[in-house]
Amino acid sequence: MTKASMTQTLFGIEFKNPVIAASGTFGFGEEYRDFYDVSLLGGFVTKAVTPEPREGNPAPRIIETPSGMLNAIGLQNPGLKAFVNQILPRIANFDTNIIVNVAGSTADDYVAVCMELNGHDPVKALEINISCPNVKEGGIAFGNKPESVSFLIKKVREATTKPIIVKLSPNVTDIVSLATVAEDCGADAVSLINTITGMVINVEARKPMLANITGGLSGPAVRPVAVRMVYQVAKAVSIPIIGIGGIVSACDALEFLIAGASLVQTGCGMFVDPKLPLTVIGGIDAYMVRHHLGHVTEIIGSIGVTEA
Amino acid sequence: MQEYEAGIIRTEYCGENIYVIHLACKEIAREAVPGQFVQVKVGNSTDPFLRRTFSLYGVNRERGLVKLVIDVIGRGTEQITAVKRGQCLNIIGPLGKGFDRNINTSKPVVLVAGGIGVAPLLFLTESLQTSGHRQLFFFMGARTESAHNSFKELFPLKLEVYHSSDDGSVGYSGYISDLLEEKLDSIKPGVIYACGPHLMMKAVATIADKFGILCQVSLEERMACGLGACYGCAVRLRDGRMVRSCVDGPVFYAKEVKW
Repeated sequence: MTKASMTQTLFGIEFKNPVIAASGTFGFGEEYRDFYDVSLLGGFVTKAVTPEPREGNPAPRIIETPSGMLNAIGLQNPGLKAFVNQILPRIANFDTNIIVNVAGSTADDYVAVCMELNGHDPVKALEINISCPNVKEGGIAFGNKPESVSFLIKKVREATTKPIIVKLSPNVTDIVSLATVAEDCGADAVSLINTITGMVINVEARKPMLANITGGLSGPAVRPVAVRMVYQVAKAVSIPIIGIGGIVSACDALEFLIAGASLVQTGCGMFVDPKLPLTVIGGIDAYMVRHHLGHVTEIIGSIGVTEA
Repeated sequence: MQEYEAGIIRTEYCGENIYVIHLACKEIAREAVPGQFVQVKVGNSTDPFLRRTFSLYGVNRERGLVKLVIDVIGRGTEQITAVKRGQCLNIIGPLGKGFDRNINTSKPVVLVAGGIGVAPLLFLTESLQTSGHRQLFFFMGARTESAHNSFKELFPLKLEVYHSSDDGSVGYSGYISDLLEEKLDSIKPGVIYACGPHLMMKAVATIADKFGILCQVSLEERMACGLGACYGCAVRLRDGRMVRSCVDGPVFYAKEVKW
């Protein structure tokens, strides 16, 4: 792998390659260490951190679906204090970009997490979770209307000098307008998509398969939706885009890059193939060699489209 | 724990959709303890998507073999059991925390299995017998006679087994937990190990509590990653905490679990 050809500096951060592990699928960066050195990744996004500890939703929380899965974890996390005092010191030395996913019930919750993390150098950026479909307050409640996105992102912007990445929900009428609002309010990047709200019913019992009734769909099943949204948002904003949704191969990741994403996140595909991020990095490199490309930026947004 | 390409040495059919797969994986055979599990990849397609979770049924450390019992209940298990001898299964393991084998070792041990929950308990039985335990009492509950017949293939020769069946065709007619309760006074065990359907384990936990006997259960929660990363397999404990069955379990003390 030719290292230089993958390196990008985006919103003030150097990424050694364009592959990041997605929030909620990578714990706090320690769960996959038996499989490989985390420093090989472009970065990873932690599980959502809220001001207070959260126990999450009742079980069952997951169910497999065709080429994917539904989850309704409900932002279980040990809270800001435990993250800063116990977890961060353990992961601070990882030679990769640590991005913290920030969530809460109120705007003040988001502000509190952002302000506290602003003082911690190992945290390189904050991903603002306005798209979790599995909690009653916060999450998607902030992410589905331009006014609420604007309200929250302006507050968060004032609370931190670290780069903020706004994680967008696909469960909206027009994701492009929300991405534009995020950009206008000072977001340094947008990441998309979070999961698509779904439901599975146990026919024999005539009951929902998940205790939360509904859950978020992820996996290869959502990938075409995600690629379409990245393509549309890329045409509307000038900040970097992080593409997420059902990546299980380098080819999948390349779709996002070609559509206009500067970086990608691998998610539940890592549950099946823990080494997936490394496979993707290697596959992108091989693609670049095969297409005689000198740098990964030559792929980004390179889609050729003849609009009707 | 690591990811391995494990060659299939042999697959046996026991009847009633129950299979035993013998895999070559010297690393897991060397490291694994009873109660631990593996995550098995299903083919190369994305549908079915997730790995399938199986408790270890046994290992042969000298020969580097790992045994799994698989109940074919859907497309995933169907595909896994269809893989031919000489081909490989991609497996991750050993995962999770196993049984504590050092509880009241001077007293008799009771093991209570419901259906496919028999697998980790037979691995535990073998391990206890190897370390010199002689007073093992095994309670095996299954729905029907033919189910019992298929599980019978899995048992070692020298083991005292009490049976129950839902229809009374084999052994005690009714729940295995009821039979257990009848026999406990005479066995006076130092520990009870259980694995099976949730309601069975709940019943065993209640009985163990009533008799003041330590009890460990292996929970069979639905898992996605099996590595502690997704928080999908959460179990509520009596102290209110939600813990991950895959890394904090799957074996728990019954009195810890909020049933």
